[in-house]
Amino acid sequence: MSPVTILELFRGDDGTWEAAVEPVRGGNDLDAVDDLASYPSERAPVRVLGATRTLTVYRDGERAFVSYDEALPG
Amino acid sequence: MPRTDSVNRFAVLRTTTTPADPAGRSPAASPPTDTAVAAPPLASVADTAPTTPGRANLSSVRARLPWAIAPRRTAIWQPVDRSALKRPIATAGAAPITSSIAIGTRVEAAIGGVRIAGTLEGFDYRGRAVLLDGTGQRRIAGFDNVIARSPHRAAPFCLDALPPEALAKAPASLARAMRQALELKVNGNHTAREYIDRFHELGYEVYIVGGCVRDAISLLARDPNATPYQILPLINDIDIVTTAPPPVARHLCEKLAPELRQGGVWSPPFVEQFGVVLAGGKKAGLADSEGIDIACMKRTGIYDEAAVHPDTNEKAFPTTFGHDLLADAQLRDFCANALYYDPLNDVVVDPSTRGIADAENNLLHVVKPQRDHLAEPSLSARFYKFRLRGWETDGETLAIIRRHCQMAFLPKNGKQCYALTSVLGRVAPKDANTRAAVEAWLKQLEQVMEFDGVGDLFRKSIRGRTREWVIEQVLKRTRMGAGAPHVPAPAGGDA
Repeated sequence: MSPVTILELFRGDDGTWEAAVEPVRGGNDLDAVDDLASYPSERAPVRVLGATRTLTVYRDGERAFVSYDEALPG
Repeated sequence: MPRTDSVNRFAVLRTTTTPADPAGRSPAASPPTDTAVAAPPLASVADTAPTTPGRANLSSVRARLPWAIAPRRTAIWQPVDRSALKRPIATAGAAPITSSIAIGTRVEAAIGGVRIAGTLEGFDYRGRAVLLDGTGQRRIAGFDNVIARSPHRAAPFCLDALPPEALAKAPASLARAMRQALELKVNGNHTAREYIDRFHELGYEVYIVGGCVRDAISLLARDPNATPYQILPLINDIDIVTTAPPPVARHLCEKLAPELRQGGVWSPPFVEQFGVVLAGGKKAGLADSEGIDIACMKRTGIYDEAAVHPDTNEKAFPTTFGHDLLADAQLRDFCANALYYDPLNDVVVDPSTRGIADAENNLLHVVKPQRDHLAEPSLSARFYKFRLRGWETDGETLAIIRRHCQMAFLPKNGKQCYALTSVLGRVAPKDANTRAAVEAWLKQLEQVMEFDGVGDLFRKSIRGRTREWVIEQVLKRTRMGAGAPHVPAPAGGDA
């Protein structure tokens, strides 16, 4: 199982999940998890770079994240 | 000299000077300096060096540097004989197309069936030419479509465009430590040396950059007789910067390590917009290698929300890349972090001309004071990462940091709040892996921010739920082994 790069989410001012797309300068600016399947998930609207799409949102306690590749395919 | 041995480690040194100006500007034209290091400039090799035809106009390069005076380095740093510098020559195929025309050349390109005239600015994240047209618009065209309209030459070797004082011969112990570090495995069974050699074979320049160069120089200042074996542990995280465009870097990784999935590259393709390709290490599922961060040399780094560009119909961040180490350095935070090591020549490259002295003296100066630092959410947090290690600063940088803290530590919306907690999570020390350790670190952070006159901002922001978020972020990262490496404060510099 390869680690998966993720994008963390925060609650926007209107309560919608928003992806934190930040400039990446190096490996320390990106997070990865070993196994997405081990986290509970749901489909939910997420705002990514101004556009809202329905994505799989994974939860880890209060933390929420999406797969980078699903949110921002190359 | 501003060593921390006998002064409070958080001291802000202020010495207002009106120094001589090696850039040749009149004193009236020079900005007033409030600098930590009011030392005479380095031996002025710059003014006596013969002019090489085709070399960049050095006085114009100096005019881009913000300081009127270069701080003194220790005597271990010797000038470089430019005529002896080796440069990468493409031995595996044609020379890079992105280097075929020098930046600044007047060009024409067919874009959407229309001939557009402009000035070549560099290349984009896909290696296409970026030109500024007559209205200042950023236009994008394949290099195949670009014709030079003014006399032009191929992009110069990066080191040719820097003033002599920006280059220093690496002491033998540092050179040996670097050579040994490059033999360490970074991606599966592949060494950093293999990556660097491959870029060179393709005709691209490569420099080792950032923390490992800074920390090695800092150690040599404390102990000029440090052995390669003492320096080597500081070079455990190799980041490189190259003149190759991101797709070339990714392709090279895939070719070099075909036995690994995607060549061990774990950064998503989207991240190439920032000029970054990341391979190996834990996040690639390769726990037995450190990983290698490959960054493309940036010329501009505007990170506004991605917009659809009319020439490409792609939604992308408008970053331009090129062959300009000074421009790349000016997009970094502090001079001591904008140090490069040329592994082909064993030369330390200090484009800002004060990075070596800053690393030797543990000083923080922003590389480009006139830049819009508010656009970088991490600047003040990174500043305090070093302040907590006992680094000092000057009035000009502290004024910038105070303004930055007003923005970063007083978040006005969810995004800014997330950015603050996330950034603090990244700058916490690696050993802050228990709640008590994070609490202790936050206490220290509050103390040093108090000393710098921004303690009230800390107390207003890092409380309640935000404080819990910060602790959670720090623990999440340190338990993954992703915190900032622990570097002890210099001897005698106790808080």
